[in-house]
Amino acid sequence: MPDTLTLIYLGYMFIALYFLSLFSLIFIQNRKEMFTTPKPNRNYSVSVLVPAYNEQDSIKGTIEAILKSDYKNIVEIIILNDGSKDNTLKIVRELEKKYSLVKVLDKKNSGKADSLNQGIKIAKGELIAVVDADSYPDVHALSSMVGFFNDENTGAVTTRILVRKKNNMLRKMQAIEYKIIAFTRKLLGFIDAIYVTPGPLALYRVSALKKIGGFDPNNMTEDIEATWHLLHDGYGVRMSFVAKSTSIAPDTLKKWMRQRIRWNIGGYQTILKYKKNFFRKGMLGLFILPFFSISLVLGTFGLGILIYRTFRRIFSYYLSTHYSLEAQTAVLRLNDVNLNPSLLNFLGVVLFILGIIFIFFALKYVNNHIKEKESFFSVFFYSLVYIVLRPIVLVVSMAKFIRGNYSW
Amino acid sequence: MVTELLRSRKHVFWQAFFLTVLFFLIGLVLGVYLEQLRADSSNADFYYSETSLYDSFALGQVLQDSYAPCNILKKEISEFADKVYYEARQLEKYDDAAELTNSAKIIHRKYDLLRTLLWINVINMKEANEKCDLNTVVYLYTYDTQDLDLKARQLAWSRVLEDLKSTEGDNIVLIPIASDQNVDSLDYLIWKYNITESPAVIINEKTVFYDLKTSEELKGVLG
Repeated sequence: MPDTLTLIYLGYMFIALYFLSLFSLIFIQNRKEMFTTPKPNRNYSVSVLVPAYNEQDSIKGTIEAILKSDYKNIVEIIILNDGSKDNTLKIVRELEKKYSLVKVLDKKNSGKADSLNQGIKIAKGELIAVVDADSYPDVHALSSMVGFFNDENTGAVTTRILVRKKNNMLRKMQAIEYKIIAFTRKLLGFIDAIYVTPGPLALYRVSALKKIGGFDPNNMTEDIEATWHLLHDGYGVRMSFVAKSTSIAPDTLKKWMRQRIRWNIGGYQTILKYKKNFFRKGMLGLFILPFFSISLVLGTFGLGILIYRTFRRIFSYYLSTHYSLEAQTAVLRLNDVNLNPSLLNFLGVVLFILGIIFIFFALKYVNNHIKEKESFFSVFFYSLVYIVLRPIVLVVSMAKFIRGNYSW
Repeated sequence: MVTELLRSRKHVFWQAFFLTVLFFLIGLVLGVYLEQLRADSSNADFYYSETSLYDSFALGQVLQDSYAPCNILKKEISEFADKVYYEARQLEKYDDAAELTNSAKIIHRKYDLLRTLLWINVINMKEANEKCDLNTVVYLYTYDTQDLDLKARQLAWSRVLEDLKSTEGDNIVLIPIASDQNVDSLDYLIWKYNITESPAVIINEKTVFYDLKTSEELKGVLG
């Protein structure tokens, strides 16, 4: 009978293989519809909300990107200046003078969610596009998202979010990550399981937003909460794989950690808020909530096992080296190398290879339309090093969340 | 219509589950088959070695009644001990890699019994013929332990003994035996030679070492 650790490894491998199979099957069954964008059955009016806090470096570029959109019924672009302390207000006032579509709502700092809620109150459009002040929506983005609202049940539509500047290793890793997320999120869309409409570009039906009371100002990730609220109230969330928006990703580990901790804490807050929906009908209860929660547990537990095994191995090497030196014998021998593969090693290698193949496929699929390419080394580094950082952030986030030590 | 479409797409969860179970079962079956193959290979080596041991028993009996030099017996025993030693090393590697079955553990116990019989044969041979000066180096270790310190000490000991064997060659018979395998005859020998802890190295059934020694220190004790 295998020991406990072996059974745990086998359990992890089963789950990993399951999700790999799930995504592969969804792709195979829906590959012809990946780039489908329904033609809008009417000309929806769109109000664009751009929440901004200290975005002097990017806000002008964001507004100009929105203005370049080929969607002809943008009725207004409302910049929500959230009490910026830099030159953001000065810049947006100039934009307001220059472009008739641009309006500025200057307000005291109260957070992104509250800013958006104030924008919803004054927006005139039937649809609201939320665009982060450091994101550049593609010229075709809005026009390829609007058609999904032909279905009266659609509450929100999301899009591909890609990294704009890839000038260091961390940003390159995030670029890969965002592309894989875009690919898997589209696949989740086919089973009604999109769990977030990220801030860089998301389109909402105003009536749906108003029905759910807008965005939750107490949540660190108002985009996740709004999406789950829409799903809870029976709305559908779709994704346009044709549309894209590029965003600035953190360029230092410290900024990256801060962003991920915020995302994770927002995730915990949202899970707790909707915990009563576990295993209730609808994909929120049957898939999204369990999926999120199991990922948390598995990620934390897996990290614990990895740390335990690593330290045990290091300690074992230290001891055997110490005793070998004491006995004046070789510290390492060729004989000690065991080339007989065990089942776990074999399954692990197979899973790793399958995972790499999936990543390469996802990247190739996404890159096909944007003419980009990642090096083999980048993908390997992503698979072996970057991915290991995530459980560490998970644990740190959990600690902060439990202590209540977080704020925007 | 969209809702119907979505509902039909959700069968994919079950499809993925069955696919995963299928791949997993194939993997497990292959794993068990691989471990069984290795066990069969080790068993085959074991049966061959067992036969060789009986042959050395028989030779010992024959040479007791004649004036033939014990060189032949020493050579026979030394070669046998080396063969069994390397087979057991290979078995240990299979054992480390085995995660689903206990077949390697069972064969390991059989080898420990075989090596105990070898030790007994050497003791009898030396008692029957005092002129037969074969150095026996018996290494008793704990097989089934998770204690990292104990494992590290035992690893160091096995390296020291390998060094000793490589310098002394056929002058010594190296017999490593796991002392926690419930082999009654071994338990008796442990009691007879008053061995109180593991790991322990017993040289010529006279000197017992518990603390780590260098191969040079062990050489000084050999006959």
